[in-house]
Amino acid sequence: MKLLLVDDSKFSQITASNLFKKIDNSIEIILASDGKEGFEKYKRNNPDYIIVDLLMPKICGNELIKVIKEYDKDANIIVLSADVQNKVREEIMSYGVKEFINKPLNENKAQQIYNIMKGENHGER
Amino acid sequence: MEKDNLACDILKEIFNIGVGKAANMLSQMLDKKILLDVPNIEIIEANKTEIDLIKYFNKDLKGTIMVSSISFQEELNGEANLIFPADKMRTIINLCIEEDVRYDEEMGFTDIDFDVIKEIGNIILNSIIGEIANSLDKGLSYTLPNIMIFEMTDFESRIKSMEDMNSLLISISFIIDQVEIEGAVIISFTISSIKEIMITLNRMEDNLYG
Amino acid sequence: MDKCVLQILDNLAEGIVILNDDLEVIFLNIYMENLIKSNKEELQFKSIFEVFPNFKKDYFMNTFALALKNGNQYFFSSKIHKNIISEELNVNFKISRIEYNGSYHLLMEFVDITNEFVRVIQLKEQLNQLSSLNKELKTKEKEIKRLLYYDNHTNIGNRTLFYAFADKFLALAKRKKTILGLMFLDIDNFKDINDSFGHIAGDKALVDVANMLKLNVRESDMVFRFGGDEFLVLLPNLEEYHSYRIIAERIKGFDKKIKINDECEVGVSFSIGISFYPKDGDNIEDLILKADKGMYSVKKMGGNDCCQYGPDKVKNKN
Repeated sequence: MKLLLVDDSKFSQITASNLFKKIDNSIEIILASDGKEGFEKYKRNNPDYIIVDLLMPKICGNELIKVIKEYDKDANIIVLSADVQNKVREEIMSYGVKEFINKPLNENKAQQIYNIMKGENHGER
Repeated sequence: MEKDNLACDILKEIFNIGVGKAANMLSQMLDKKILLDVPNIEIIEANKTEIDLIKYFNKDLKGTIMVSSISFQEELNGEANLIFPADKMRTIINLCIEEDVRYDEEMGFTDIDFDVIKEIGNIILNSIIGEIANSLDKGLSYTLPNIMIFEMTDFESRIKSMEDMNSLLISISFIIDQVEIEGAVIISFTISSIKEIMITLNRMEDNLYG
Repeated sequence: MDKCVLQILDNLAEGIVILNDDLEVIFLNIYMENLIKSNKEELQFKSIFEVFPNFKKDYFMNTFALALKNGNQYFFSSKIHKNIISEELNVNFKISRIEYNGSYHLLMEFVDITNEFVRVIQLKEQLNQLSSLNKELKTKEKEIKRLLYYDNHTNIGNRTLFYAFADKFLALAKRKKTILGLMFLDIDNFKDINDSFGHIAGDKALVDVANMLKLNVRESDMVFRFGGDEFLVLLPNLEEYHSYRIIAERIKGFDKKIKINDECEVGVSFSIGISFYPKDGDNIEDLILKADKGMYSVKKMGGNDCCQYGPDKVKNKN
């Protein structure tokens, strides 16, 4: 399974990678630090899942989700954000993302995300 | 250098989460969506009196400012100051209340206005300091903020005069109802606290690569 | 609870409510009982949301939960949370976590600031009154200044303003060594207009004359009403003594038909005398006197002309 992780924080990137690798060492994780890089890597790598932070420089998460959804409306996106406002969550969910998880990421939340990915990802793709 | 960058990155993430929580509470309070901007962090070492604080601030932060201030103790010691330009504070107060009567002449800030600032300052400082305590696993105690009005230049000398304190400067910006409010949080730690924080951050880094 | 603690709580000058971790009321102090006109027995073990329905909002529920969880203090201002415990009261309140009987409880402190609200409203009203009074005074002050310096009837400068400007213009002419002209104008046969058409028509004629004069002098010149049917014009920075002739010709030449009423128009003309600094004097009184003499000579010759001061110049007609 291929996972694209878009977050401007190196710390978040490493934490998330470590947590997912711990759950399933076979996950291939691709990292991007902003929306622009995220979209390029998305097109190039065609990942099964994309985890997006909302607050990022250049293209922010919000924009990235719209751009990816325009490119492929079936793209599987999970939002991982420090912005925990209900109004923001509702708006983001309306873009058709799978789940909205609040930062900080911990083992439980990583497992929750993994389960969603596993459930959606029926074997090979 | 790489290591220091990562430490800074961890702090930034902590503040992001703290500011995110503050925005969530303010959004619930006002029943409005709040846009928040990625905070920018600077670390200012102790006794750097030649440093020009103002250049780290947003250009809006000059003239009269309103400061919400708390000091915290226990496992980390220091004080945290939330600052906003005073004129923007008037906008914030008006956003927070549905004033039925408008007055043509503003009389400056009343005690009642100060209470509004106290509530908002408490939410933001609580969320940020609380997140530091959480993430670094340090017990901290603090009380409600004091609200003060300063001239920016006086406040600057106050920060500079705090000997043996290292300060973290976090720019924060909220947009509520299309009004952009830019402020900053300055958290000053004692030297021993900053050492303690660096040790904790290093341990967190080691765990990442461990 | 300890008897001593209870005594302290009952003696505080702020409302105290203690909630258990299910957010049920377990204690009220006397101040609070008086504030909300209720008593502990009635409210015992009732949910805070039942006692104060206004707390039933996400913001409060989440904050109460947070305070119980992390022990932070939270403050709520009366201006944001209006009439939270009753319609008549404005209170600030604060919540803190306390430990009691081995579990977490919430201590709520209510401070009644209703009077402060009233005072601020009073102050703001007073401020508004002062501000409108101030505006009124400023308008009056402007009006007084206008009355002091302007002729109330024709709205051009009066004698007082004339002297103020004349002094300035004269001083400037002396310093820059330039020529300052002073015209003395008198409407010919003005008495006839008053006698045949009445004072109202006469007054209207004066207004029209003043406006026409303003239009026919140079931009830098200034027209004043000296009194009755007499007008003065200050002509600063004349290039030559005879430069005045252009202006005099303009005044003489423009259409001076004044509409008295729908059917009737009257033509007016002026007798004009002129004097100059430095030729005719170096003070305003002399200049007025000599311009007046010039005017008088024209008047004697039948009016509708302009003449410089000086016996030899009387015949120097334009």
